[in-house]
Amino acid sequence: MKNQTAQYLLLILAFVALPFVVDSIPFLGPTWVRILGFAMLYVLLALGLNIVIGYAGLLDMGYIGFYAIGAYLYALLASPHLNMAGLVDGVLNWPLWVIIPLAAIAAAICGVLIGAPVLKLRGDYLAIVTLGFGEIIRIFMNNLDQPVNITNGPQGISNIAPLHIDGGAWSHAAGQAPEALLSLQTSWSLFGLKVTPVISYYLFFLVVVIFAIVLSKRLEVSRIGRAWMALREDEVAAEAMGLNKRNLKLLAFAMGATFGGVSGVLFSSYQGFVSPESFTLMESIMVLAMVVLGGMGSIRGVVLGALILSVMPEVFRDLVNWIQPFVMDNVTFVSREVLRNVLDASTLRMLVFGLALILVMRYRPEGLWPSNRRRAELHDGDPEPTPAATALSTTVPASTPAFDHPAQQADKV
Amino acid sequence: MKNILEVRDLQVAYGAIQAIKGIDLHIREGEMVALIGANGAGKTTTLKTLAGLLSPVAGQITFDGKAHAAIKSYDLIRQGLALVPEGRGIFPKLTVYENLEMGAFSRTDGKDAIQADIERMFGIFPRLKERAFQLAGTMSGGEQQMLAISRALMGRPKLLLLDEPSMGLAPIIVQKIFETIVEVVKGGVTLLLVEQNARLALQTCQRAYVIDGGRIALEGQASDLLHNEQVQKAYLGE
Repeated sequence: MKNQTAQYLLLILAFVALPFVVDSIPFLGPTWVRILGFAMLYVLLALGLNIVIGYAGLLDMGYIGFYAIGAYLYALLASPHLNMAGLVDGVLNWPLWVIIPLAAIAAAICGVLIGAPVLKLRGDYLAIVTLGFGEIIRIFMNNLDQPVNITNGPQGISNIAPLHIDGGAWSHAAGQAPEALLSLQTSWSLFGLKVTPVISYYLFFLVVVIFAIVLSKRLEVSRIGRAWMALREDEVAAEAMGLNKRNLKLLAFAMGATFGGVSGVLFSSYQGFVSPESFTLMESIMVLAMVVLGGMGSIRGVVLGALILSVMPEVFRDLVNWIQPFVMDNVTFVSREVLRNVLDASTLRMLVFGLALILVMRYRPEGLWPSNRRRAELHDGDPEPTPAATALSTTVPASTPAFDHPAQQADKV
Repeated sequence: MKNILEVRDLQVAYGAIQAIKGIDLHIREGEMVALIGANGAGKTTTLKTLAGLLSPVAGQITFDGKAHAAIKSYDLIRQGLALVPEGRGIFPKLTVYENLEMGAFSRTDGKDAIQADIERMFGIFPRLKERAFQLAGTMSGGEQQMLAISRALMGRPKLLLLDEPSMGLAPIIVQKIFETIVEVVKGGVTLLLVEQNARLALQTCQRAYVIDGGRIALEGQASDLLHNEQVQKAYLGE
């Protein structure tokens, strides 16, 4: 156990050190630190979706809608937009400790609202309806600039305040922003290391992600987590055990949505700008792919999946930009027009994406880094006993404390 | 002995199709009662209704002196009514141990009491103890049935509804399971057993109802029914 704690601390330390290292490498630099920051946001999203899909088994394809709700909430309450639209006096500048819980609650309520009418649906049907809901939220954002300009439509909202703490005023006159007591937008120094704003954001996101991981883990081994799994396995039997199906499903939607909402707030402040374009179906699918690729229901897997799928495309972009001129100069038997289309970063990215998912589905259906439970389930007939199988077949200790047995011990992230 | 369950003129329908056309039955505390009948007679529908998974169109059910309709389906187990669903219905991807824990989901008497009951189940079914941390879905049909019964007993029910425990199992396993059921029931549980295997059900239970076309066709002492000419012809194949 002690050894494991040490490993976690080492891992956390490595993640803390990561941006400083990346920042100092000349051909990576701040651009890449920024990418790491976004990767953290995706980890948060994937962890949230993992609660809905991995634990409760509800295939939610409109998950990005909650991200949008969080992002827009922060954008409206901490930018001059509502003032410029003539809806409020003074520029809103709500304190962070109000907005984050508010976003969590708003997203949770939307989660319940979306969950309530689809309780009876399962599998593909649920996916289709939630997909529709996700789109509805985006289209709302896109069109809510008339008759009253709330979201500024497709142009989006800009000039969103960075994450900061000030005197606690809820608004200020246009052009007279108060001096922030603490803002992630200013550089500071840590043991002589210069911490740039982009690194500050990354570190703040890292703290939120660690909190989310701990929360996910607690949920997984809790009474509620077990109930979700039972519900996923067999609804009739679960009801016969005295589970309140409706409340449990709604709770799963709400919990997942909370993660999405908080993530949205962070995104909005990080980016300084939101528009409906950031919340397309493609994004929902991306987060879903992270969960599936990493391993549904496995926290460590989901984190890995999110990191890979958010960082790899950027690696790819750099790689293509680097190879492209070389190929263009040397390959003559294909027309330059075709080459330019094929050697396009975004085209190739999707190609590799599809390929990666097919390979995972074929060779590792349980995901890249599954929980021991899933692995045991899908590789039951394997001749070689996996480490997981041995963990699962341990004989009963004389007094096993309830809710804490070897399978779960081995399952810790 | 007072009645733990009383059913009066129960009618249940799936949409326009009426499956139960009005049945009356009662079970006294500590009794073992069988409900037998052919395919489609309405056995499982009756049981599902009693377990709160279907709502009746008409009629009254009184469970343990309380109006059944007033109890929410997820509260029934707390009130002492447990169902072992048809086809076992275990949670295949949870371990045997976790399945048993789920059975105690609605209990509030603390981990120690639950732990003690799990040990008790392991005592009744030693096979489950061997497989405690194996995924339940990897066990044989007989073992899964044992698990399903123990899981229901984990809720400390007063009345156990058992739906076709013999389904798809080898005769020798069925024999064993029935022996255990009798043993368990002697420990203070009332049993309503739904079975296709009429002979076995009648040999096990004290009283029985024969259901046909959504109505009770016959009722009486199991030993009498076992020798009833009609029953022998229709259900015992003699």
